[in-house]
Amino acid sequence: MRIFHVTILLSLLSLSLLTGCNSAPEKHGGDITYLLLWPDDSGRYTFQEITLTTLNSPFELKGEAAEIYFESSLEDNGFTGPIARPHLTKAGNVYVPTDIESAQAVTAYAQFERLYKFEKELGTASQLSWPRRVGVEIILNAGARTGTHNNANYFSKFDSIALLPFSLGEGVPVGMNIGITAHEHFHAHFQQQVVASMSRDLGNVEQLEGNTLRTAHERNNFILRGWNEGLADFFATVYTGNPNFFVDSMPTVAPFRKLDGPLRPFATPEDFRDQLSKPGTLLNYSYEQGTILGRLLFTAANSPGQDQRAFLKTLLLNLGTLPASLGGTYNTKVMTFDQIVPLLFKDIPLNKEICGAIGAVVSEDIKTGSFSQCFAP
Amino acid sequence: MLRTLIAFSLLIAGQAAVAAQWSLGGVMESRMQKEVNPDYVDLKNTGGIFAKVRFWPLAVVLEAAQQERDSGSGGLKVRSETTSAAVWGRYEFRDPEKWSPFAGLGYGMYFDKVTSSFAGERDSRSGRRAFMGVGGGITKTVWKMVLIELEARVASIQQRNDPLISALVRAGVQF
Repeated sequence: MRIFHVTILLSLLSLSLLTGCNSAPEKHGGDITYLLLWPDDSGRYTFQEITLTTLNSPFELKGEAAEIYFESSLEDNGFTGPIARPHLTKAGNVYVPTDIESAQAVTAYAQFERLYKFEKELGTASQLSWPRRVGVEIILNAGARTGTHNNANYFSKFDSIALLPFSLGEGVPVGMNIGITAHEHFHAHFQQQVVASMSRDLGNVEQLEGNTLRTAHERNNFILRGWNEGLADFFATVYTGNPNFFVDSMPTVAPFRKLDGPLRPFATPEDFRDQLSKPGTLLNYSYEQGTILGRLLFTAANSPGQDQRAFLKTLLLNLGTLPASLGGTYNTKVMTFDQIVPLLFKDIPLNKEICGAIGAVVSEDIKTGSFSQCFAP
Repeated sequence: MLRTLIAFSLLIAGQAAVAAQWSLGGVMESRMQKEVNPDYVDLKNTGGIFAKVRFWPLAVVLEAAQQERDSGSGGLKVRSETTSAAVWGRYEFRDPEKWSPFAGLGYGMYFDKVTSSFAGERDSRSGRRAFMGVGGGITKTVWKMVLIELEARVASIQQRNDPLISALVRAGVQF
């Protein structure tokens, strides 16, 4: 009888092994398709099957474009812990995230793969190191920085991006908004091309909120910050094709940040000095000045004869010339917000619309000194 | 080869069923599975039902369970419903009237239904994940009709890099 029992056990063993031989996780490279919340051609977020080509495995979010970390902490060398591994099921040939955490992590990778391909097409990918390091649902120490939710941060020290938790109503989570992620991604360009080569540290948010910008150096850092924000909005607008990409996640901020809004003049040195005396207003002020720059660039890039991507490429390739133009008196003389305009437009052919837009935002000195072909006396 | 094995197993099982002991009952499974950040482990408790046929020292256990989870951020919601069905074969080393250790192998399937919704739009997809695993534990029949078992398992699951480790408590009526 015992021999029968052993036979049965062996049969069960064989059956289990034979029928279960395909139960090990599949490993493959090549095209991997996920179901993700993603903007369609009109910019509306819908569920779409998005195919990625740079991942080695659908189960580990690491590839040529990015390394994704989830709920990791930030330490001296950047994000700690292992690469994110999403929970998935397979419906046909499509991998479907089975929880929100997995959906967020996969979407983050998908966004950076698209950015990687966008930059390769543009010819600017070599300005950055890839794969980009990205943290999703990162909990920041509230004492270290403001805005521990509903935001994204670029950390120049680690050359990494943190996408923070979202708690604003029923919109697209910030980390899944491709415009906001692209905006944050741009800061790496500004850091590499401008800030790092000037050996600068732009300071932190506490400095802005505490209004402690006493020296020319600190005030110039603030102006750089405003330019950085405006250029980042322009980069994200060209990348997404949507000048109002904030509206899907932060509808109260969107009217002030959208790039198809009206042009108005940059702050004068006198305006800036007045603003410094108003506690708690500087953070918004830097974004306001950035939006003026972003709207100018958007208007110019959409003018007749211009191609948005070519325009953006010219800007990105020229960013590296800013430090030499600004560096001489950086520590002794406060710049003006419109000082960047001639530097950005030096290789852009001017037309009537661009001249009109420049005229709406810069001072008389800049008009006559740098754009004489537009504003001949 | 596979068909021969199945036919042979069924033949032997048919003969053994004459003297088989049957049990029905409930099972509580505590699953420890790595989260999206694999440094963290998520513990989930799932209830289910089982049927067991024992032709000592061998036994076959059929199990079924259901698990649901709702998660979301902003307007994006993800609801996943998973039904599992599995068959486990085992060898019990001692007379089941006493506490008896056992070791087993199992194969099963998770049937997933994932419904994602955002801004009034819904997308529902169904998928399957096979799993196979090994387990070991102790079993005892008390008062000749109450079955009590404790078991620990490790399973490899399709679409997952990390193994699922679980602990089970099973209680039922034997007849």
